[in-house]
Amino acid sequence: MSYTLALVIHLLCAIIFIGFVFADVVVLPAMKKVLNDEEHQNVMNAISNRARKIFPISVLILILSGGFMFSKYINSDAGMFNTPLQILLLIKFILAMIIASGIVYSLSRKLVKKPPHPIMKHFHKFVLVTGICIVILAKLMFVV
Amino acid sequence: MEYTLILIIHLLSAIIFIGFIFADVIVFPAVKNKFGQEFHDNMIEAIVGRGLKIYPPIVLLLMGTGGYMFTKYINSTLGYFDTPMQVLLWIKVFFVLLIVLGVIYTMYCKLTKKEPVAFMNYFHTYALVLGIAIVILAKLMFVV
Repeated sequence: MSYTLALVIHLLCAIIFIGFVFADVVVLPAMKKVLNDEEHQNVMNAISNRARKIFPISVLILILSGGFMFSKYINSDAGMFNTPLQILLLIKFILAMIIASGIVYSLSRKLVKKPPHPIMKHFHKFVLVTGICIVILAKLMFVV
Repeated sequence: MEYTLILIIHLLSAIIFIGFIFADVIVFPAVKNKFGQEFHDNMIEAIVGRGLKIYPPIVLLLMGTGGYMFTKYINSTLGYFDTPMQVLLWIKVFFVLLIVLGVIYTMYCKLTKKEPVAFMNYFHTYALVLGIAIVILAKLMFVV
């Protein structure tokens, strides 16, 4: 039952995290039609400020619950690269760590009040595509 | 493999739908607090304009893929209320129908330019709670 609990928590966190990124990349740009550049920037700042309180915690819970489930399939008894499931799970893990690193980098630049590298402007698009790949891997790994 | 493909589409649609509702209920009100109700209403109007193009097809996809998977667990051979899993799946379907009725009513009001009843002002909050319950049921029904 503890596995199911971790799975439900993992899934709910993934929903709010990837769902928000989808809204940010696909839906929110619609605001540009009714707001001028300055208003749009102010709105995005207000949304980002609240998002920064919620999403790092949800990503942390995602990683912790994911780590708990990870240890069921990859451990010293089961091995690391013995089955296709384990290989797909490791790819999923690497993709998740790339997203987590990007979030840590963004937050740290914010903390030291320095602008992030220009490539980070596209970070949310990258997270959306990577997030979708992670969801697909999460289901695919059980049928390969 | 067909079932897995349908499951992935169902999951991605759920992420996009519930994730947006979460953002709308929890994250976007940050704009209302900072810039006032009127500004927030303008912003939401623009978002809803795009949202109306994206979310109804997503709900249709969710129902179509969900219906396909439903027939694997509830059909004339397996019965309808014979196992705890089937009962939980029926409850899940009931919650889904509540959300769908709300979506249809909201769209009807939008198209006919009628004011929805006051109860529907908090429809996204109800949909978020129902959505979370649906996700929990989706996992719980496989372990009861």
